[in-house]
Amino acid sequence: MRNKVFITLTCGFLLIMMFIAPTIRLLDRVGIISTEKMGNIIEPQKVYSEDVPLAKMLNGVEELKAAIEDTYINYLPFYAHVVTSVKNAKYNLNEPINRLLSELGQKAMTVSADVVDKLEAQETTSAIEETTAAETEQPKEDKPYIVKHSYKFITNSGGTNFYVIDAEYNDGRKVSLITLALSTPPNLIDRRMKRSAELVNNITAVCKEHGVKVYFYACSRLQDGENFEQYIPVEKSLKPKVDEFFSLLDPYIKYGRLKVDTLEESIEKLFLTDHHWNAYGMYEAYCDIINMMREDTPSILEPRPLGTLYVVEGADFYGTNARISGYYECKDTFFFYDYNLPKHVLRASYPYDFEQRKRLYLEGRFDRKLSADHYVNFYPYTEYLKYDNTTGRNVLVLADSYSRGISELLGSNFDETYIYDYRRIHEIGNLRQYIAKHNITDVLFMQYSLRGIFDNQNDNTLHLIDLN
Amino acid sequence: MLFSSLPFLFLFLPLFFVVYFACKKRYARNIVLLVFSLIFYAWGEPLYIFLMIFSIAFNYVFALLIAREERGSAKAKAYMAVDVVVNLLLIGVFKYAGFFVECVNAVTRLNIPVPQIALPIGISFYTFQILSYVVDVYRGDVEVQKDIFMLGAYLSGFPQLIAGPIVRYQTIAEELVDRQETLDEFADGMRRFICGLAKKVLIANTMAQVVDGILSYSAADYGIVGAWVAMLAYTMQIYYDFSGYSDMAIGLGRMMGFHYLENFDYPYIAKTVNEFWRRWHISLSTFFRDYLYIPLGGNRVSTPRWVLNMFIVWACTGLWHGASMNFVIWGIYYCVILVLERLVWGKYISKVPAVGHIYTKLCVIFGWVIFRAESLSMIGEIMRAMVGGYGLGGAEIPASIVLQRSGFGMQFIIMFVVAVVLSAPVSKLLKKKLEGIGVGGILTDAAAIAALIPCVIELAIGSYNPFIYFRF
Repeated sequence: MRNKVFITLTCGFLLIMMFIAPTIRLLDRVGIISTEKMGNIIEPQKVYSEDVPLAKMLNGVEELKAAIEDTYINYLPFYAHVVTSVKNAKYNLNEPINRLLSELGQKAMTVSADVVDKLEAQETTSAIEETTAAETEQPKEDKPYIVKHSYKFITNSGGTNFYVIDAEYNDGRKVSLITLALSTPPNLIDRRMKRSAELVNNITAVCKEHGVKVYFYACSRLQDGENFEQYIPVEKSLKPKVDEFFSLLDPYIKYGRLKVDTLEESIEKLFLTDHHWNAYGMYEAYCDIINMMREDTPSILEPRPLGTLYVVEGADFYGTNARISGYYECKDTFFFYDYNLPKHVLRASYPYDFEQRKRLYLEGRFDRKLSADHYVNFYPYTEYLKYDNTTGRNVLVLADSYSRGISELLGSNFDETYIYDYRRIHEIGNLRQYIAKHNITDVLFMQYSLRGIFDNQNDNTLHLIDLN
Repeated sequence: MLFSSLPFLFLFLPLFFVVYFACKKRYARNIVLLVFSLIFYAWGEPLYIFLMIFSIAFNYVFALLIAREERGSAKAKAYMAVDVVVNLLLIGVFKYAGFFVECVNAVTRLNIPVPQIALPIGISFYTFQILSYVVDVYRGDVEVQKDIFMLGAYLSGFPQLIAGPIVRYQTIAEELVDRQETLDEFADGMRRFICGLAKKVLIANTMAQVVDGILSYSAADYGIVGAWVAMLAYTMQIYYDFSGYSDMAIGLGRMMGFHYLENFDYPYIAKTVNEFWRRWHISLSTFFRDYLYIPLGGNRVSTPRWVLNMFIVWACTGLWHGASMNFVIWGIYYCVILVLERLVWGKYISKVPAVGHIYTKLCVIFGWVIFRAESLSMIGEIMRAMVGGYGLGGAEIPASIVLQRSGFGMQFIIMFVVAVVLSAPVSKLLKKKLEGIGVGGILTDAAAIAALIPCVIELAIGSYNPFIYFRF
């Protein structure tokens, strides 16, 4: 009897789960129910190039596997609730020890800083005076500035340390944000960075042969800025590494990065709880990119003026950083700009219309769940854009999810824009043939610095482009 | 595919048992096992499935050829030699070619390109299984299997396919054709499977995060505290990871009516290193004992010859674990300890159990340093940190920050305490006591079901799930 009950319960549970996950997926697909999405993208782990025997079949198998894994992870009942609450509970459980270790770390650092100070004091006193003056210097502009900030460690996940920074402006406004610090060992950072540069250079060599101009734009974040250590003294700024990466690039490549050197800039340009750029950050990146390209090609249209701002009431946004770390004490309020773009063709992975999306958001008809990712929900996964311009410029953008927010605006300055997320990069096939077929004049690398430069997830796919 | 993955738990496993029990005949059930096992393997290695099919077919033919000849005849010996050489060549090419070339380059200062060959998952396990079969056929210890599908079902059986235990053909030869699947066995198997899953998902993975985190920093940063935390956690990680997998394999086997031999017997309670090895990875130790150590003469030889035998066996044991100099050193490390234990200090240690425990633990923990380190220099660094060579660390980052970033928190501490307690036969005693009282069985079942839920939750939220023994 006991064994029967045990088997009924355990096997019953497994059997129910076997059927329930695909059922939820099916119902979600046909629109009968709406599941919470956690931005948990599951893709084929391998892509077989065409020279591998049975490549088509093997790629089909990989896609089937990914679909099965996706079903049995993202469509499990209450998946989002479980992830959210368990991660939050873990954060709370570990918090006392985290605090203790932080205090011990701070003490250790203060002691070692004191030792360094004493040694330096013996060498020169004037240097200290200069440093002190720089630290206390106030920003010259009238913009509000941060007068106080503190940080605390939240968790480590996926090769990154998550911190929350609490900041206070001179006008009394308080802001908290979650920021990341790469925790990959330095030698691995170096190796991956050099590999990333090599892959970009290999593609550039082909572009150069075909007279195609090449640009690299890093979607930066706070750690890429020079002041990062002021905010999180136990971490190191990656600015020297970013500079080293740029120095490794073929001189043919023009490069730039979103300037996020201060906490104020981070708050202004990036989401507080998500790793992506916010609508203002996108605009600044857009201007940077267009201005950089116009230096070579003045026929490219000038950057558009900043659009009309819409702050969406009630669109609370807990981004990827909040969801991964389980820290829900701070949030974003979603906002976007309307640039009143001219009529154009937009092809995305699903039918998309900005006006319709805008209307839905302004009417409050958006996903209000805790796990709602407004960046993903609002901006499309754009693959192709065509504007009625006569610039003579067709751009190939090698990007990642950062392209979602910026593509429609960026494409408005060119004739045609082809966008390949790193997940689809293999679809380009042979680059020479692609350039010829689509009359590509410019190639733009535009990726999250953690991916495009440091390849943090070890998922750089640029090698999948056929350069022969 | 991993046992500790949601597609396995919620799709593969239920589907397999539905189809398996839908077939009434033994032969059909074995075919179902074979087909599902190939799918299971192909999930991770679609191309290497052909290597496995070749291995099955090749060994099937050679075992038939050996069985056809008179035992001990020159022809039988020749077939046997060819079979062993081809099997060792396969594992040699896929697992050791790169290492071999690196060694040649290092010794000769040549610059031969190192072949980059992906390691087929579980090749060490299934090669040893098939070798045991062919050798046993040669010795006349088992009847040759005339049905290739039955041999395939044995060799590729998904429960033990990729991370052991090494199931010898003679263990399950009879059960392959005549076994009983009963409700009681199925329930026991399920309990054992859940126990293994919990060991892996709740304990080993929690330990792994901290170990990997700490050891990704420099020893000068994590210092003595970090080094000991890392190595104590690794000591638990490797035990719960591997014994968890063995539990799952044994449990799955039992659900199908197979009775695989135990692979672990509370190794951390051992009072000597020799005893530790009688309790740790038993299927591997007995394999080397029966197929290498005893044929070499075992311990019925002169002392110098015995030392040589031990050296050969332990060097092979080390190499079996991985194509790297670390593993060879790890094997030799145990050879030296076991030789000295027998010849010098064993008799003294066994008289004081407490000293024996401490001595054995220290030997094992330092052994794991060699095993875990990714290079020879890393072995030195970790050991130096453990004996205080880097003080409290903090050369660039305070050791407390290293611990913090590595996930050292309350969850880790709780799981570590649980791991230490359960590494002794406490649960066994508790289970016996509980079963003595009326509600004991119900409590055991409730605990098993209660363990399944957090496992599923952990699997759902975490992606940290690689099995250590996959690389073997």
